[in-house]
Amino acid sequence: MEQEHVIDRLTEYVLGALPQDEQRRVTIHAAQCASCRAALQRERQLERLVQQTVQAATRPDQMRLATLRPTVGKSRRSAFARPVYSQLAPITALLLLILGMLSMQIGNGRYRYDEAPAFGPSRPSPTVTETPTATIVYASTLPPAPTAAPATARPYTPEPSTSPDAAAPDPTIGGQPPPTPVALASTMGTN
Amino acid sequence: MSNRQALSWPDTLNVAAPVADETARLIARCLSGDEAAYAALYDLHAGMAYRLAYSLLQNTQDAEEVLQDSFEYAFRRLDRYDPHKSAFKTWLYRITVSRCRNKRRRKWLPTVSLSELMGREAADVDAPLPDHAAVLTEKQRAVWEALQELSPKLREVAVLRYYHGLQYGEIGAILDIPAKTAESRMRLAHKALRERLSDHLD
Repeated sequence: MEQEHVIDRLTEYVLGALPQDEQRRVTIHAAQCASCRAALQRERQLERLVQQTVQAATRPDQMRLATLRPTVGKSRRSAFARPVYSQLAPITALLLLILGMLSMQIGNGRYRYDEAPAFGPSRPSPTVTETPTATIVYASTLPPAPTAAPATARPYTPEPSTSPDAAAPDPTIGGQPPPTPVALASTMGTN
Repeated sequence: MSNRQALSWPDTLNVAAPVADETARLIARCLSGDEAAYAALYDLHAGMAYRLAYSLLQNTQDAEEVLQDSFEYAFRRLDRYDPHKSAFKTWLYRITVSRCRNKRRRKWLPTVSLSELMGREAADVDAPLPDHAAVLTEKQRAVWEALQELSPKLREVAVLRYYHGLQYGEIGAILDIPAKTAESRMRLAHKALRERLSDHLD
């Protein structure tokens, strides 16, 4: 019974999974018991066989591994030397978004954004009331837009264009170009 | 540089203390901006990392890709490596095993190769390459096939324990499992291999 007991423990013994006192007991018994010693040899043989197999089967081609060495400069550049502007780009984009939302909030009903037409630069065309304060705020809070030009008090309803190369809708109303925010403010001031 | 035998990684089961000390020195040099130290760190650990990847994937191309990915990842995050939490080898092996698992998962996705569409048989790309099979004895070939028959979870533990000689605590840290789980998986792997290879044991 003792031998069976020890044989049952040989796997854990070989795998180092026995408590220290058990480990010692198996060592002593295996030294005295031929059958347990033979079983222990088989367990260890399996371990050695796996080691030798992995050693032989996974031997790398040293010259090949040298070619796989990561490009250190590129790794370092990507991790440590990114241009500052690329690191700030997400923050900048977030700030612009917040400013845009704030400008809409500040308008608070004084502005009404029509749906942007699906041609030209996809920016909404705001309509403004004759409120100089709102106009100035609009000019100062929105980021500079390439083609933005606030319309006058009349709602702006552009005519749809079928041409794929259509430019931005002509904001001209009444044959006159709409005033720029600064011009509009000055105009308001004189009245 | 390419002609001389610059690669001298320790091809042993256990990373000796001198290697661990050298690793620490190289990491310090890397973090201070010494680019040559990265190459030296790679040379010191690439061999064992490759062996681990190949043991788990049994495919040279996959193992090489995992090796490159693992080191690129490790180098990018070298400033976040904490030597008080784990040895560098443990940290690197953890990255390598993770990459191996991703690689294996991607291969499980259903794909249809062009050759299959054309009615031709697809080549078995997962079979050991001829050069690896040629160096194995008949007994070793049987052992290698038996290792492949193990489930990935058991194979991971078996390779890390048998070949890399790691303790269960280290294995658990690499595989993100408790040490006791690593121990029980090892027990299962060992019994499965013993039954499978009983004819080859004296």
